[in-house]
Amino acid sequence: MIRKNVLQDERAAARYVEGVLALKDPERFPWPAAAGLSIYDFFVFWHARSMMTLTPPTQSDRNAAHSGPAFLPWHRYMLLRFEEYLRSALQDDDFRLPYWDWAADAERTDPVQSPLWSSERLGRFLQSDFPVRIGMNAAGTLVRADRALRRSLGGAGALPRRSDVLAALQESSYDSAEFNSDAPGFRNVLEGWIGPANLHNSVHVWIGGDMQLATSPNDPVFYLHHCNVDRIWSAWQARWPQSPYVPPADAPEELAFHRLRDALYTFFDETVTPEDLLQHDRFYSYDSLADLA
Amino acid sequence: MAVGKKKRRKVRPRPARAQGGNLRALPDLDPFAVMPPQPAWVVRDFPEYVQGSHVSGPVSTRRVSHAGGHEIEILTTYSVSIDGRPAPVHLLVDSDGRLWSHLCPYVTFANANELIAHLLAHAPEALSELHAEGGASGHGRHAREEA
Repeated sequence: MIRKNVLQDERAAARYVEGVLALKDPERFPWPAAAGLSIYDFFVFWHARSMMTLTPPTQSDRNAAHSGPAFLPWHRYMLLRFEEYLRSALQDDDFRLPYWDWAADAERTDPVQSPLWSSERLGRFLQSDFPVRIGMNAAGTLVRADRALRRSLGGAGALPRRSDVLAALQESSYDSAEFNSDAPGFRNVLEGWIGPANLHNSVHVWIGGDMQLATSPNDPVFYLHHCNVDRIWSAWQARWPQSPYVPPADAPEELAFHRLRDALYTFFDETVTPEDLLQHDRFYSYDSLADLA
Repeated sequence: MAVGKKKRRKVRPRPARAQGGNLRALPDLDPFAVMPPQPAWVVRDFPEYVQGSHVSGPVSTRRVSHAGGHEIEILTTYSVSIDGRPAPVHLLVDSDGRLWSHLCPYVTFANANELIAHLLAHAPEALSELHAEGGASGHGRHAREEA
């Protein structure tokens, strides 16, 4: 089952839009936790709540899904679960998330003119029938919202270029002490806290609007962006097969939620660890890693 | 980073539940609580991650171990107002001493002035929504309570 390039596969793009619109519908796919919420909204909550969970709570850098080693496996896990719901919505067992190769759009004279943002693709979600229902106030508290999705393409930052991605792939170690936003290693370069291009982070900033908040999954481009981040991790794993995931299972307790065999932060009744997710081809493959070789 | 030792959590596989025959069950909780509930397994195995602390206003603490054997702790309190109106904006300090916020978690700032200027330029809605709601205070789990 193949994850495809959304810039090159119109059917994958159309199916993604169709699936997201279905999951957003509280009539068809309700999240009974609160009136009017849908399964789509649950994933917004899950992401924001992970960010509110500092690991450990005695510091304010690393959280359960960001600024630490679990950044890549946690988002791989989140995407797998979201993808599962999309398959159900589309009644298509073969459906896999497409990815957005933002480095390709960075080569455009004006990346804002990418067909990705057309009204048939992700521009579709700016319409009033795709309301943001979980917002965030200035105090960092989740609040009920009922407004249109916000974007500010190119308002700040820049899309990373292919050369920036290739440079990140030269990092031979996955992560290192202190396993936070200062730590040298591939995870932190790809996440965007170190390195000249601020890879993952810069894409959030470039899109702006809702993508710059902890509730960033409100924008469906979140999943296409993270699918590409996951693709880059896959390419790194292929390039450095001898480089292990760190920290190991017996690392100090202060690294809980991030060690090899720790349960990743979840509201589902299951235990999934980074170790369970290291081989992505158990679940899907990518149509191409050639640009990352 | 100074953290007390605690018993390691045993990882046990638990079966996924189905909803409607095919879909996994979603949690039954209030997502709009000031401090939304944690998953049951976090409450059970990591109680100190749940309770956090509650203080009035944004506070951040950094602990740095000095090479000479000293441990330095820096407590910073922020009181932000915009146009003369209190604006308890969510603020945190990372391990490098830079500021970030859930309102802009993908970028850090050298100081609070830069962060607020960024929000005014790129997320003014968040600040206006704060005033519309009467100015909720920051949620305290991001602040470390002093012993």
